[in-house]
Amino acid sequence: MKKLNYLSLLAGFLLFGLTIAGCDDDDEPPVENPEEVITDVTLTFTPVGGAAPITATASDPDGEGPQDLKPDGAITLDANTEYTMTIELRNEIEDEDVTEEIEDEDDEHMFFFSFTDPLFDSPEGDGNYDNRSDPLNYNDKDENDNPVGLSTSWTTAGAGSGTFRVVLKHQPDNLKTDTSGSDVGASEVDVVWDLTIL
Amino acid sequence: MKPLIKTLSKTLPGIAFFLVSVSDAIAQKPDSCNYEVSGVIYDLSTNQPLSFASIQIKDTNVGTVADENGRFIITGLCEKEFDIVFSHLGFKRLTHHHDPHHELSQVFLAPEDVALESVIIEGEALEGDLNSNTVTKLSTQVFENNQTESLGDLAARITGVSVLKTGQNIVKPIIHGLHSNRVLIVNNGIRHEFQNWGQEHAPEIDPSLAEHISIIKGAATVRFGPDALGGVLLINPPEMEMVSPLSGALNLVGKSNGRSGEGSFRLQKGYDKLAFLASGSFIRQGDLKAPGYQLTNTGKLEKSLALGAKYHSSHFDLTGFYSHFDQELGILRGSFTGNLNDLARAIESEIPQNTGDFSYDIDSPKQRVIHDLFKLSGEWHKENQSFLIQYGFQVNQRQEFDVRRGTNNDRPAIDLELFSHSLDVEWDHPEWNLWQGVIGVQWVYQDNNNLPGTNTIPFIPNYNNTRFGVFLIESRTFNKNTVELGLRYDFQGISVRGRAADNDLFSNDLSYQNLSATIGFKKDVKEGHVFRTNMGTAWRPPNVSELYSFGRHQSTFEYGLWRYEINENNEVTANRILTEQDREVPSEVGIKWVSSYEISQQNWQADVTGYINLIHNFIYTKPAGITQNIRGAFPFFIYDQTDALLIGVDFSGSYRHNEKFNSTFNAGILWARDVGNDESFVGLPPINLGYLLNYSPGSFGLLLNNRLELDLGYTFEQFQAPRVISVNQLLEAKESDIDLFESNDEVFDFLAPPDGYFLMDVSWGFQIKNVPDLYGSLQIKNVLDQSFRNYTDRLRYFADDLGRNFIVSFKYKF
Repeated sequence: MKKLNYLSLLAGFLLFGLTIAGCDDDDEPPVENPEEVITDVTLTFTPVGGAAPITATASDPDGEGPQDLKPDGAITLDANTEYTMTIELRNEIEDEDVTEEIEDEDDEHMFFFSFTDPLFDSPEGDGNYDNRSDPLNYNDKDENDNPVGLSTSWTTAGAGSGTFRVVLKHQPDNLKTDTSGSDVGASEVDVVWDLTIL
Repeated sequence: MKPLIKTLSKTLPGIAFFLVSVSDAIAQKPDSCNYEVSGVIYDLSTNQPLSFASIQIKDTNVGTVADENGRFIITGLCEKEFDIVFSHLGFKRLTHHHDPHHELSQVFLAPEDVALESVIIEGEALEGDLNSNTVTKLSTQVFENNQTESLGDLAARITGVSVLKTGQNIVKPIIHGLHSNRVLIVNNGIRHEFQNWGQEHAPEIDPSLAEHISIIKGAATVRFGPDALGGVLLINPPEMEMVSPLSGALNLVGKSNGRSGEGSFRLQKGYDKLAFLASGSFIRQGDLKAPGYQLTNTGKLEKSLALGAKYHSSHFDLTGFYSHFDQELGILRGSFTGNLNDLARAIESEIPQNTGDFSYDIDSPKQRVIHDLFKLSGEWHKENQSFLIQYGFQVNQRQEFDVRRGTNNDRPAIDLELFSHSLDVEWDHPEWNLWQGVIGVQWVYQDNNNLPGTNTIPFIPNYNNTRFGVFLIESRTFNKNTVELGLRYDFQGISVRGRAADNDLFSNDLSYQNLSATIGFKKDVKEGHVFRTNMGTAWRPPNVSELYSFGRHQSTFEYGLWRYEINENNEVTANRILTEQDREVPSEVGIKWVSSYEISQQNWQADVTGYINLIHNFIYTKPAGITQNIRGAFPFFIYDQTDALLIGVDFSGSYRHNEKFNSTFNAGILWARDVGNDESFVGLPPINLGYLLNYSPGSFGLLLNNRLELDLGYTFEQFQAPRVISVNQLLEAKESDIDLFESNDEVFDFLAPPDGYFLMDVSWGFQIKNVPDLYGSLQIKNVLDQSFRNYTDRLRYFADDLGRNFIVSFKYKF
């Protein structure tokens, strides 16, 4: 008789286990908001003289899918003109403005630029992507007095054509310093446009 | 859940009826004095047979002496349960409570001068019921000396096993070239259920709480179920011995590399009918160091606890066991990369990026894993049969943290919870026409959930999995030959619910079934010579990650079998979620043939194992292109199926030169090929050779029982590596708009395999005069501070492996 008690104990345990297993079924994964995804980058070149702004966009509708992003058309700027360039980042899947997030954490982010020499009179050269100390006209600074790059100034040279590359680096954990270059941290944006100066 | 409850409510009365009929059968009385007990006695420190030990039934004058080869048999016993005492001059006496249902296959007596205890290993715990399958056990001495290593590193001390690592903290075993979903881990008799699909997901098991580790090298699917294509890793805690005084051990370890402090304890006590076990361990480790630089963010914090109780009566054993494992571990900061440009820089930099000063801090990227196991098992014994019911409940929690923007950095990017219930019912039936065997039923139910709050689209979907298997293994011995046959049927049903990149819901219900078989033969060729050969089939249904994974994984993108399509222009698209109607994904099916020849003589032993493993529908990833994303350029890989062939040889041997010197040698060679596409695989373990010399010179002044050990290992460069395409070549191809994989989609690696390397470890164990219960040891690993990179370490692209490490340990036993 005693053995039967063990059996009923075990059987009870099994039923208990099954009941637990049964509680939590058919549940769907939660809806998540993938905040970090950036699907659209828009560059807005506003002539300081007050003419109409020129925008250039790159969008990647399939996000992490295998299709390439498409910079829609080349950027065309007027020769010998001063522009203020602002950058807007969006997550179109979530209809979210990522620019604000970068502003909030500007002490961990920095934009670097690389372009064909000599398309610009100012900054001179080919940009600071290859060398942080190369000239670039940042209009914004973080709390540590380091540049961010959401707004920059550009003066075009004479007519010519080439490429214009924008790279956003995430440099958390005090990686961003007054000397940290584009080789530090992980890339969050890395897009190349064709650039024509008329 | 409803269909499952229904199924079980139907089957449960059946099981209960079966139980009642067996327990009735057990009540019969045995006849007269026809009991016997037999076994083989070994020296625990050398694993070689121990001659002329004395065996005595406690409180009687019945006894015998083992023969030259350690064998003994006592016949004509009237009692069926008794305490049996094993003793030998210079060895620790062992008292064991024997009942006729557990065969004493191996008795290991520990020399008085070592920190080990004498133990008995009962046949079934060791071999998992398969006589003809090659099983290799990690020697107790090696286990004890290296118990603070990870489970994977410890298992790799067995010939034929190597490791797949993600740095030092994440270590998975590779058995005969296969790992992850193709290696089964059975911890304490229960299949360890975890997120095994990830190459950077190590088993959540603390080896310092275990006592035996062994490997079944053949396809043991018939016994253990799907996934055992490469082999099975068996881990068992110490046996809970009846009638034993309170005993315990306290172990403290300090390591210079990582400045780690580690401690563990074990307590055991056995009464007439009850025995208890408690053990626990704690590890705190800071950043490790390669020769010349710090490996930033490689700290580890680990806590584990195990509690066990066993009730024993003449026909019945009831065992309850609980274990808890909690680990937080850092991953080398410099290995975290974004796009291909980042990856190129990380590979090129000699010292990993973001290398800082030593710290105990664990920041992103990191993992936090918690695993709880609860087990209850009851075993009924009768004269010539036994019946087992075992229930296991496991909760596996895994969180992975990536380097992310702002507050997301504190959120896990992967947050999974896996509940597993398992039920095993086995009947060891009475001998029937000279056939002995086991009939068993295994049932598993799993519930896998993504927890909310990751702010990422789940990498794998939620799923519920029900698996049911029934098996039969029969063996028959005539003269010195044993023939073994096994058959198994499995059914697996999975219900999957996931989210696409735009958060749209998808779901599917899948089912798989398979028939597996094994046939084996064992021959005792002559005294000390054993030949085993076994051929078995194994299978594995595709894992959810192989079907559904989508998106970025560090510097690459991956698309599962049901996440991509190839359009008429030969372009890969990933806009739709497919089903079995669009692309059939049959299960992997393997057949493995393993043969071994073992010789054990007075002064030496040797064994050689050869194997051939052919796997049909082998799931792997292959490169399919480079995508330009907002983040930059990334290569992408798609899952596909092929046929794989793996052939290899393991050799190990040991020789006792004299009383003081003992040598051990081992070697493992593997050749493998993707025969479907006629190309190489990435990440096959290279050939390695090992030599171990033990020297026991006796006493030096106040230091007694000194033991010195020299451990030499040489790992060759892997010669079977696929082609190399450097990151810069990928970037250049993308820039010039060349499709590198259009004409050749052969797998590739970013770097060529690292050079071969030679490693030397030394260790010294001693006791101090007048402090008999304290055992000390000093070890130096990588004595030469050799810089090396391990081909099967996923961080080999970024940093060197560990430099020199001084390890001091003290063990107090009572």
